[in-house]
Amino acid sequence: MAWTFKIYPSIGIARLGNCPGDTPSDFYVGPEIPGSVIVPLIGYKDSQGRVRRQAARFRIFGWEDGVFMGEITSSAANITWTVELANTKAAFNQFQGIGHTNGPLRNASVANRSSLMITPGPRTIGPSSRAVFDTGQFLNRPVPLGEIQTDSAGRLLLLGGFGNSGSPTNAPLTTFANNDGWHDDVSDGPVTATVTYAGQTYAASGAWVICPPTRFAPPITHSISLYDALLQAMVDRYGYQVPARPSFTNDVYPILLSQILTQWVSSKLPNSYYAALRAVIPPPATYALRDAVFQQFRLPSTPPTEATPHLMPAIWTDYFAGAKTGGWINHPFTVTQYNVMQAWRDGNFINDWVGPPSPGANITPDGLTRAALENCSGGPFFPGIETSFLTRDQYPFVEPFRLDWTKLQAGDLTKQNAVPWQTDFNDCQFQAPLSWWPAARPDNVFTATSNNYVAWDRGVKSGADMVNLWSGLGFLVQSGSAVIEIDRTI
Amino acid sequence: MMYRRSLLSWLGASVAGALKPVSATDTQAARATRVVTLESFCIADAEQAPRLHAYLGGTLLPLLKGIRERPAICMDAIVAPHAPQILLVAVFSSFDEMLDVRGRIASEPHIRQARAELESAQVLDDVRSQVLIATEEALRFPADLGGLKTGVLELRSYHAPAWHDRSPTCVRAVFSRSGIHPIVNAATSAGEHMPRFTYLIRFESLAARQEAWARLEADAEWIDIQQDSISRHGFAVKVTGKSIYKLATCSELA
Repeated sequence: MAWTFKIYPSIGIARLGNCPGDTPSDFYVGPEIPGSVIVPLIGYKDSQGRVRRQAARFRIFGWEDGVFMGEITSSAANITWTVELANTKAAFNQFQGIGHTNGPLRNASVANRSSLMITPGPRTIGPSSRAVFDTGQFLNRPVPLGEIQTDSAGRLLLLGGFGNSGSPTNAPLTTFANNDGWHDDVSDGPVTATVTYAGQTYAASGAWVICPPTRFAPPITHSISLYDALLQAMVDRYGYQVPARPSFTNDVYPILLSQILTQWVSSKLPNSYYAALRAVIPPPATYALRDAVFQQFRLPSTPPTEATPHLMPAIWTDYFAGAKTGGWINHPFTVTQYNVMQAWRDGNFINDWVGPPSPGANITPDGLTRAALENCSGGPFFPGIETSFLTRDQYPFVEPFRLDWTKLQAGDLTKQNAVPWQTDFNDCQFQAPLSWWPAARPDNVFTATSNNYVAWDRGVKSGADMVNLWSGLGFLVQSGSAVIEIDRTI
Repeated sequence: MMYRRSLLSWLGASVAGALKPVSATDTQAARATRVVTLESFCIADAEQAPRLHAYLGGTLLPLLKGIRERPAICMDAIVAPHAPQILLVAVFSSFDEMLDVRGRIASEPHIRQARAELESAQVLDDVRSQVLIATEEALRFPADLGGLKTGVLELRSYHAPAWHDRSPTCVRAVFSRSGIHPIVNAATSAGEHMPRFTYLIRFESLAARQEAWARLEADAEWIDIQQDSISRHGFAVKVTGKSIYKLATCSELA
């Protein structure tokens, strides 16, 4: 009777917030079912206007002799969790764009490299307990990175940092990604567990957690999510097979929807684009209408620094550093996404449309991972919001979407990202002629009282402003058929 | 009667007399078919479980008890593809009785009210039903269901074309020898992976369960049974589902 235990989500997301509380009335748990949008009953912000942290909840699932048995909780097993979080951004190389991971070091003048690494070390907890990552330091300044706790079923709840960025040396903010003397409290690291079941102790397959910035636009889906990007990595690097004939509801519609939803976070795309997208729903639509949409997409095999004016999606390329020409050098959909749309254009799809799909009701292992990753940006990685191109292109996986947690160090998934994150977040507003990550960092939004677009970051004029004011930015929520900004406190 | 003695061993001698006896001399009665229903109540949120327990233990099970004599128990899933989940196992003498009882239950005003309350509170994600067919002799519920209070209960299904409409005697013997003593041993009447055989088995503990299945896997006759299935059907007898439960407190209260 061989048991296998695995932790899910295999990559979890715990977003930072400056509401310091750590009771269930202070935070909310992130999406656990694909397609679901979390609108916390307690609100995204507390009564003082502070952003609540979005916790990542990790669960263990078991297989006995290859048969899926379900979630393993404290009803059946004794579970001990170990998590390590770290922020090693300031000790890594400067971000200079994809293909330049061996550039000059950040903080090159600091000889004691470990003083730049916020490494509180691992924490281990059992049932109904908690531990805090509060012993890490940056240039001798304490930088807490969050905490872990277990719920009554033995699941792990992980809370990230507080959005605190600073410079013990009072260094100025000079660049979007490489600010020497600065830290933030983003982090990442491995999540492991031992499961004592029926008198035997097993090591569960490990997972990873990323504690990135807040997601301010939960209803807006990414053109290319981290799920899409890693799915392509699984196809390219590990031969993962995807269905040849896509489902309209599950494969085509989400791509169309990601484009339609752009209207709520960007004022820059023409109405004719949205009209073309709407015209192909419901399926099948005519070949001419489908082709009119498909022809607007950039071919993934286009050389990455080549301009393809007005093709979609209208977001910058990973290769921005080599393409500063002001041209329309956009990031294509993944090959898998593109193939889905091509098959659809050609009429080779399953017409299973009965209306916009509702999220499922059941928690599933793969669903937990997908729900976490589809809410993250899968590009452009310049350098990225939640993680970098290193995760997509280089880091090893032991199975689909499960990083080899034994071969990576805490901090590896975020070390390439901007330090502090707020400077990149500020700079990555619309940059003519393209947006960066409008689903993660809106460009233009509607408010409850205005039918005209307003800048989402109005009132924030610099990276320093973003460091100080980020938590005052508004969240986007569905309001009837519209998406509007709420909770803005700047 | 090794089967029955093994059953007694986990119930304890003191409750031996409380077993619902199967008359060895009344073969016809022992072979009479019974209907076993499995209803899995998949709960949306663990915090809602007490509401469902209250309905099952305080309303449904007492009503079932009042209108029929055969056993009905509720079990809480401790390891199952959907958890939290409560599984209601009920035995009926026939399909007609099952339909009659269901109809009578559905017409009870307080049941209807309770169900409406559960629905409005969105307690349930899903309710999944299975109907099994078993012989009387294949049902080994203790008369005192409190005997199930300790230990764990496993619901396990096999896809086994080689067993046709009944698991062969040799399977029962190997199970018994390995310490596996089903309370329910039934064929499934419809659905996937037919023919499918479903067992509800009580074990002293999760560790005892592990040991029993390990003994089975090492049993020469079980290996022969698997080889026979491979040679005749191209694959070994397959486990198509297994879940582990404990007796729900609402079962004890009912």
